[in-house]
Amino acid sequence: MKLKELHALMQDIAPFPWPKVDLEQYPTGPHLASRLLFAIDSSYDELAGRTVVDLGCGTAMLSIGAALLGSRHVVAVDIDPDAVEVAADNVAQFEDPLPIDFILADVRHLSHQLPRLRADVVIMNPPFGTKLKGADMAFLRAAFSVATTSVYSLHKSSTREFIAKTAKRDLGASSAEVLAMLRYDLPPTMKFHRQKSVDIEVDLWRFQVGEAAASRRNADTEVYSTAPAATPLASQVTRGSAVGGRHKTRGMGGRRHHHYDAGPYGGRQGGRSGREEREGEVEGTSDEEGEDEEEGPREEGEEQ
Amino acid sequence: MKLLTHNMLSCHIKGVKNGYPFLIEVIKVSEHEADFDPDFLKHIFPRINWPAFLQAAEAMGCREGLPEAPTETALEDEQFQKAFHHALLEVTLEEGSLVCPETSRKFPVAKGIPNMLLNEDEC
Repeated sequence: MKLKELHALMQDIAPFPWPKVDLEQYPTGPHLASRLLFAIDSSYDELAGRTVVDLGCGTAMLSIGAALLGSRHVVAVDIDPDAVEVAADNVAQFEDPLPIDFILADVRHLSHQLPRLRADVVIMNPPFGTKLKGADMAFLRAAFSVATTSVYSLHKSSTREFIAKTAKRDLGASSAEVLAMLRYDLPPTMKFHRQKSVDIEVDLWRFQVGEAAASRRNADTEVYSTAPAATPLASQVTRGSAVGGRHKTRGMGGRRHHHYDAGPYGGRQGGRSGREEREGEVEGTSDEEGEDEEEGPREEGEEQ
Repeated sequence: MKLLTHNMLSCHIKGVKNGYPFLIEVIKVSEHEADFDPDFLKHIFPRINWPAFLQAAEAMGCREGLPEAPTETALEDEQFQKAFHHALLEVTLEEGSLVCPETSRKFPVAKGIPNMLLNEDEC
């Protein structure tokens, strides 16, 4: 499937009608989601024929994309029944049934509440930890308790060093790589926004689950997994290129900026709020790691 | 909720030792087609807790064609593949509950979605 096709199919996925600020419900727009998933698929081929868990699925944008790209079983987890109701409606829009199961659960407690939940790949757009302190790390921990091969996740760029260190030292990642940097343009209708919009710089990460971690988890559930720890096939290719798979880069090595126009998700009739949802700007990234931070994650200070 | 998902769910209310597998209380089951992919079946088979799967398939009415203890060679047999595929991916519990085998606490399943959220006193 081509990126354009994927994007078009995801255009009608409805966002949150009334996003809950306390749960940090920011929509993952179809533009961002389709590019993110297409990159995972084309660079790493880790979706088709595989199982996926989407933690904090919200309106199931990522789950739907994964299913469209050939994942055979997607488990979408969220704590909010209202979000999951929208998500289930989104999934029902597709003529051919998508292999997505929803679970209402608290991702922050997933490793001890649902310890047998497993998937080849975890994909997620977790809370950034601006409202729910520590939620970003709790989600990352949960991801590593589930994934047998890799984790794809979005985290604030300000936490980059801390995330890389924690993933490798504590969570069993054999590698931690920033695939792209994005600028998240948060919707201006959030209650705490006084100005027009709020920008957060966000990293798209790929973590490879190390052999030791994977086999330790298998021992816990007495199920032997045959999934090998795959080496990232095209990590060289993704360096210096933004999310978007095989798109040509104008000028190698530099950052390219795409400004995506704000616009509502197309197509749906009725029940729309008419708000404009803005989507992230995507920048190419080098594989630089940034300065070493002694402290833990720094807050952006954008919240009240 | 399909049986592949059920196979991975367990009850961890405070103090519970044997919360797996969930018993299934069926009110409504639906069936729908899923893409038949034998490679995927071979990929997922080692991760399936087979006794739990059989017990759940029995409750959901799709036990037919599933052997007690399938061997590696069974995975090459198309008849087994079809039965396995169907029970694993094509049968959904729409309404009902998952029942903890130790405490009998019911986790409701509505519109195919199990609610696994624990109450405060259960954490």
